[in-house]
Formats: sequence, C-alpha cells, structure tokens
Amino acid sequence: MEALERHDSRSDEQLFQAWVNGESCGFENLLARYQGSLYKVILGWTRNPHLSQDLFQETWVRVIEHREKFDPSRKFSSWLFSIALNLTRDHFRKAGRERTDADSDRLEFMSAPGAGADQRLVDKERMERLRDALLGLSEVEREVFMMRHFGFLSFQEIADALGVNLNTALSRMHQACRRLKKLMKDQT
Amino acid sequence: MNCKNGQKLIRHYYDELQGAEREEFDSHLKACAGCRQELEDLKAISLELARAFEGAEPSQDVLAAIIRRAGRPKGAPFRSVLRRPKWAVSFAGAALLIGLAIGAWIFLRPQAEEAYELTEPAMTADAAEQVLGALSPGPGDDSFLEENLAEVDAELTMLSPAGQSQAGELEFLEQEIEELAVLSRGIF
Repeated sequence: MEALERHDSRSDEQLFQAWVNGESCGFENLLARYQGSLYKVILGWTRNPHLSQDLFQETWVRVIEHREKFDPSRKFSSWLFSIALNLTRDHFRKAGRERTDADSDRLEFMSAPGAGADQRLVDKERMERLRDALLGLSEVEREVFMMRHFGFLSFQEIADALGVNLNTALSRMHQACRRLKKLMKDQT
Repeated sequence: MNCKNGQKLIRHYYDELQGAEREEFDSHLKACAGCRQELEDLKAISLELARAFEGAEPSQDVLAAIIRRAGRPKGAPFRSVLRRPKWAVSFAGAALLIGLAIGAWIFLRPQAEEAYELTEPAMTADAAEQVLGALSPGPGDDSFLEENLAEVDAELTMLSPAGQSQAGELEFLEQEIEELAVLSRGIF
C-alpha cells in the first residue's frame, strides 16, 4: 500500500496529535510504522494468523475509538501494545483456554522463495523446533520476548505497557531467552 | 551460564546499555567466555526467529479497512473485513443465490413459455405453400413466392434461437434451484 510508505520524521506522539487535529496522514504513518512489528508480536502471542489479523485490526479500531484517552506524556508504542496485549488476553480468557493449544498448528512458516524440496524440509523441521520452543515459554515470558524482539520496544516501554517495573520486564526477558535457548538445544 | 550479568547481557544485545555501563560490560565480555557464548546463542535464536516470521504481515484488506475507519467520525459503525464465520458466509451466499434464482425463474417463466409457443410452427409447410400459391401473381412467376419464403425463413430463424435460448435458460435455472435446495438442506 503506497499510501503507507511515506516517510515522516515526526515522533509517534506528534503524528498521533496531528491525526487528532485532523491530519489523516498522521494516522496512516503511524499505521505504516507499526503494521509489521505489531502484527508479528500478536502472531507470536497467538500463533494463529487469522486470529492475529483480527486482533491487529481490533487494536487499531480501539486506538481510533479511544483516541482521547491517550496520555501524551506516555509513549504511543506502549499504549498501542498494551491495547493489543489486553485484547489478546481477553480473547483467550473469554475462549476459556490457554494459548498453548491447537491454534499453534496453524502458524505456517515459510521457506525462502525458490527453495528446493530438501531445503523446505530442513526449514520446516527447524521452524517446528522453534515453534515448540516458543510454546515452552510461559505467557508472561512470551509477552515480553515478542514485544522486545519483534515490537522493538525498549524494556522501559515494555514495563509501561505491562504495568510492571523495569526489573520485572528484564527478568522475564532474561528468563525467556534462557528457556528458549535450552528448549532449542534439547531438541537438537 | 554461571555469570550474574544475565540482564546486562540482554540489555547489551538489544543495544540498551549506554555510557560507562556499556564500557564496563564490553570489558567484562572480553574476559567472560560464558557471556560471549550466551551472546552467540542469542544471535542464533534471533536468526531463526527472523526466518520464521519473515513475510508475516497484516493483509491489505485489513489495512485498508483500518484507514477507512480512521477517516470516519468517531463512533461510526465499523464493518470488519474479518470475523465472519464460514457458515454465515455460506448461508448468506446460498440464500442470495436461491433468492436470485427464484426471482429470475418467476420473471422469465412467462416469456419462456411464450417462446415455446413461438417456436411451434404456425402452419404446416404444405399449408404455407398453398397460401403463398394463392397469393402468387400467376403461374411461372416464382420470384414473389421465393421472396416470401425467404422472409418466413428469416422470421423463423430469428424466433427459434431466442425461444431455444430462453427455454434453455429456464431449464438451467430449474436445475440451479434444485441444486441450491440440496445445498441448503446440507447447510441446515
């Protein structure tokens, strides 16, 4: 989508304010900045592409509907990811099930374009190992890990989004990395 | 890893150590093989994750729907491009097709029946020859007869395919209705 590829040097918060003041490209630029990272983070939490599309859309609708609730002293990224996180948690709470369910089977990993059959098989096995490893993380570990790794939020922003202190966010990330490494080594 | 610098290592990897703290940890890294190995492991995990989530993006339809919603007044109803259960889509599609088929059948039936009648010959060939013979200016002059026969042929040619086409359409619609009835029984 070409309209989403415009470069704008303004901060997230300035873009948000510009949009609230009637500048539609402010919103489009914010969406462009976060479309890839937010979607990947949600996908990492849910491991279900269809559900992720749904939650991604719902997150932005919440941003639009609750624009007046945004606190300008806060980072937009923390607000955005906290909305996504709450929606994801709500979804699983309402569905009455854990995220470590059959939904994970729907996450399809891709080989590079043009990869041969052998390479595809190797990729598939490797990705299945990674998926199993992600399943081995606790929910709070996975939340922090995905926000830092694909969301590119700083640990302070993650702490704000989660409503915890910086040390807790760091501790969860450290634990997630150690566990992920161990799980992946155990599989080889 | 036995080193107690785990959280610092994570912050270093994600480029969140600055100033003196960073310099201090860089010195530590040179002396600590365990931390260096941990750093390598983190890089390997990151590479795997990057491959696994490569190309994961929200759909263009979702992005377009979000932008449309952002441009509308607050509180305007949002028509999601997602969250349509498959059975609802099937049901809506089947109901629409049945409605269209019944409407078309009711509308086209009288015309098709009329077309059936038009395709039936108004008189036998012998009777037509007798009438034309009677109208002929005189024996030996066949030009008038030939002109009239050509006209009759042309009219029959015009009427016949139309009649056949409408009759065929009616038959096709009847088959469609039967198939849709079977489909709807399956759905309910």
